[in-house]
Amino acid sequence: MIGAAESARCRRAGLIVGLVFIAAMAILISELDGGIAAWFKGRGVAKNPLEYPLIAVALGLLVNGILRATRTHRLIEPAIRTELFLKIGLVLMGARLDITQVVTQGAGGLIQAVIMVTSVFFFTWWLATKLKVAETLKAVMACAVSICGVSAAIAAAGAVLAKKKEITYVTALVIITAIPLMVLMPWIAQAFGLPADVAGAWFGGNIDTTAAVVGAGTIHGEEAQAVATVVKMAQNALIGLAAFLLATYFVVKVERKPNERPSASMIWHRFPKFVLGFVLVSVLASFGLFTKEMVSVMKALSKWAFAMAFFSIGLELSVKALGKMGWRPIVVYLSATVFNTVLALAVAWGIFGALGL
Amino acid sequence: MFPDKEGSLVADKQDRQAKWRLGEDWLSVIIGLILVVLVWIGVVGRVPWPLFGWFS
Repeated sequence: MIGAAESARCRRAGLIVGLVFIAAMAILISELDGGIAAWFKGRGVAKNPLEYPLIAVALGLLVNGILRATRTHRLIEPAIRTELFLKIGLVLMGARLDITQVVTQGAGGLIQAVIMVTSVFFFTWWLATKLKVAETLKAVMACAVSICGVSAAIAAAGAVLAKKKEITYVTALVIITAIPLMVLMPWIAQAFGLPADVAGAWFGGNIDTTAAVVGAGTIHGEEAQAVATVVKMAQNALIGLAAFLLATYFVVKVERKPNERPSASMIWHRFPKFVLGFVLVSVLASFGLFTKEMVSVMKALSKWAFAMAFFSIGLELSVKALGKMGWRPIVVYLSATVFNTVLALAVAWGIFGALGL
Repeated sequence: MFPDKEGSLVADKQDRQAKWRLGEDWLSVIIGLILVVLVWIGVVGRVPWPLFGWFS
């Protein structure tokens, strides 16, 4: 049996080896991206249809398959930190967005987030109740599909004390639905000629996981990427409130212990702090603290962080987790995703298209 | 705390996982801001950083 100290040493070694490996893969992705773009350009295609998020996720899935087949996936698991890489990239991305743009789009995003989160949450809750899905799994799924995927699933799981296997299951569902949406939505938006801000708001309002939202925005273009990110951040900001309300509901209604109400400080505890970093950097940029060259370097660095995050999405997918819960939760999640997609398009069109926010 | 269906070990694990996630959130802000400062120093001090050529 392995001791605690030995186990900690193994995790540290896995973290270092894994980080070096993921960074090396990001270099490979950048080289592939450059090569593929040049190949298309040589054939008269100005815009590379295989943008780097696609290459990164595809490579991540391929490497994931190889590592799992050779039973070496566990070795680098401690370094698969999709959200950490993504959030570092988002903090740096603040340098190229003016704070007035963030506030304007953030306000529109917040209105959209409130409409989307409540509608999708209650739709998922209703359908899951109809199909007799377990209470805790229902709460985790409703939060994941309506707010922001894996982070929301973990926040909700903490609030309702869901089982570990329920988090793993929902994480797998989030990734399995996010990857095709990340590829299809920019393509549909371009095919239907959606304006970049409406397309971005659509991606931000619909795709569950923030990494795939940034990926879809990147594939569509820079403007869509900025809107998608800000809209998704507004949605992310609601995690704390949702976790608090869920915890209160579970204590009062499900567990029936009204004397053990959770503290409102949970709203702050669960608030995604990276949003503060993003806003701070954006404020500094708005005060003219960064030169054009600095912004360009920070943009390159955020692209590095995003490439590592996109690669990690492919790397962390575990299809095995899906076999454990039966077909009902899958039907609920997929139906909620379809509902989310249609509603998000209508709301994004109304707020960012008709109202012009 | 309300009771956990799989025992306190699972609750402990989830608690640790949630704490790590929250710590990771602050970590991303710290690393992001350190990188911003490094870029600022690097550009002002004209430090040659060839890595920045990639992806740009």
